[in-house]
Amino acid sequence: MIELEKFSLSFKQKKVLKEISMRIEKGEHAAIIGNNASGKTSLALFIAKVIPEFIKAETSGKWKIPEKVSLVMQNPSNQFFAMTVKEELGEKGIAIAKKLGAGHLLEKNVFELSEGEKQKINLIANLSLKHDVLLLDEPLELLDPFEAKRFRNIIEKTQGETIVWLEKENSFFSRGEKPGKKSLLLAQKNSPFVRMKKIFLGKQEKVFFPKKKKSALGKTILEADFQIEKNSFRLRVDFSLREGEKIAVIGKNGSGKTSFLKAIAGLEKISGKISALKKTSFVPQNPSHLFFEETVEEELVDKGNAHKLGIEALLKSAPDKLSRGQQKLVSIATAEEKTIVLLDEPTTWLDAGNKKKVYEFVNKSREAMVIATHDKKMLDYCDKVFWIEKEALMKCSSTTINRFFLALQNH
Amino acid sequence: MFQYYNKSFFSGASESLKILFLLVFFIAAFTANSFAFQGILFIVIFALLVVAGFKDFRKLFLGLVPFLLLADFGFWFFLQGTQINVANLVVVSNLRIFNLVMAAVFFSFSTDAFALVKLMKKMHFPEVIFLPLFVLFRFLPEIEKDFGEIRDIQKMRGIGIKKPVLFLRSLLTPLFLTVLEKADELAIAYYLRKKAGREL
Repeated sequence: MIELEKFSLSFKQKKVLKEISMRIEKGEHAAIIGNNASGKTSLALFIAKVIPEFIKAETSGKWKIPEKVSLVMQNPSNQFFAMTVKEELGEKGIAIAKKLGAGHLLEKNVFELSEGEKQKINLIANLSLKHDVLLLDEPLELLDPFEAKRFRNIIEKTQGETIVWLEKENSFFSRGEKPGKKSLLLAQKNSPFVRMKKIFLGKQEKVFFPKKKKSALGKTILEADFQIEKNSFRLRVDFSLREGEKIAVIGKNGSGKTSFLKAIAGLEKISGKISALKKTSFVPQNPSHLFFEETVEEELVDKGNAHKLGIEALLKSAPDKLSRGQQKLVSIATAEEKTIVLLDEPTTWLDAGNKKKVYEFVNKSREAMVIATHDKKMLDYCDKVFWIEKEALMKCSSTTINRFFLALQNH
Repeated sequence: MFQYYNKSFFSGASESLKILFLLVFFIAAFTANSFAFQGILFIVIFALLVVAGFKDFRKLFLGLVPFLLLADFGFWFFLQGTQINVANLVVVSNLRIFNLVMAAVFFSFSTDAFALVKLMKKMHFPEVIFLPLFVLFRFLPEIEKDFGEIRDIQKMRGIGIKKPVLFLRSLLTPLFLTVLEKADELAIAYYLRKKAGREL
């Protein structure tokens, strides 16, 4: 079905894949695992024949790849062509949606859907196309644990498919630990995800995460008591932040985490009061929204952040030429010193090695931080955890945290 | 400013009639050089938007201000000292840009892009024409959303209109990169979909 032998791929002399070999049989479920910039997406595009038919690249080695491939990418919104779910799916897709329990979404507009529902519809639309292989390129990256679980359930229900799932971390497909242990793993023992054939792009080194440093908390520097109201969205907020304190905010997709951060940054209309003794620095989830200078160095107000995040080697590079993971680290480095730092999903798109750099940055930083995240490990470096539920920001107990993140494990 | 298809008084009208209206309006707005005629066009398209249920006028006008300022600065810079009446040119040009953008907003607001593509295919329009149009109308609201976020972020970083060149660069460079990113993924999705035998 898919056979690569000493396969190499490069763009304008820049080697992306070097002499890789693999074999995936018809009907097999396989996981291709590689760090940031290991060439996963390029490999997916090659298997889908987008490279070299549509995007030019130099290739060498031997290969046998299927004629028709469906590809589910990270951001479903960029893959929709119709306004309504029905039109997007077509007759065949509608039948699959009904079979897979997504019939209730058919009458909706695609832009009314949650991120998870969008990805589900995107998957069904791809299943409805004639294909020999279904490629999933980090399909859970933008989803909260609940939405991720629902997506995975659908994959488990599909039968007779050859599935190739591309991910950053091996632990993603490992056996889950007992509830209560601090790990966010995709699969339980006996799950088809554990039994997946694993193919590694490059070496996966064991990453040891730093231990939580005790925060030196100072006086209260931010007090907020406000409400956001826009269209049908409402959020009630009442909290305070002390100097040096790290606060994490969790919640489902669309619950208002980003709006909450933007409100603190003064970018959302609120009714109520926010009194802050310091300026704020906001780092968005999407690094592409940030960069406009010619070099990374020019983008950074505090050059010291480059050292803290281990990106000194990138200082003279052009931000738009960097990989997604590198851009993400640079975006975090744009946070200014002596401000309240607001980080929106700072570990999205990062592999374990790069995540470690962000954890260290948060852990060592003396700045107060508010961090919206789906990454459970990040909570270990925070002093308090809040969660957004029922249109309010509330303090989160460890039971709630476990319930939120164990959605991935218990099924 | 740009919003997805809204069911309104005009949604029942045929897509071909709307295309014809848009074409005639664009030609009129492009060719008219008098303030009075551009003014009439402005009143007509403004009234149509009100009837269609469009409410975001403040955002529409404010969103255009940076681009108009840039264009006006260009007129003043290159044409000062010539025989051209720069003040008149600036007023008419600004009205023209408002009219063209409002017509595009009216069209995207009252027309289902998917139905439009179907009609264009039925009329045997070449793919090279209807596909970019479809992508434009389908993605304008999302691009506008990205633009809003980019503007907010740069505002947070202290980049404001006081330094107009830096301000525009800080808005347009990330917007351009974001649009390219979206276009890349969309093109790949379209390519694979077409290869699998499914058209738009």
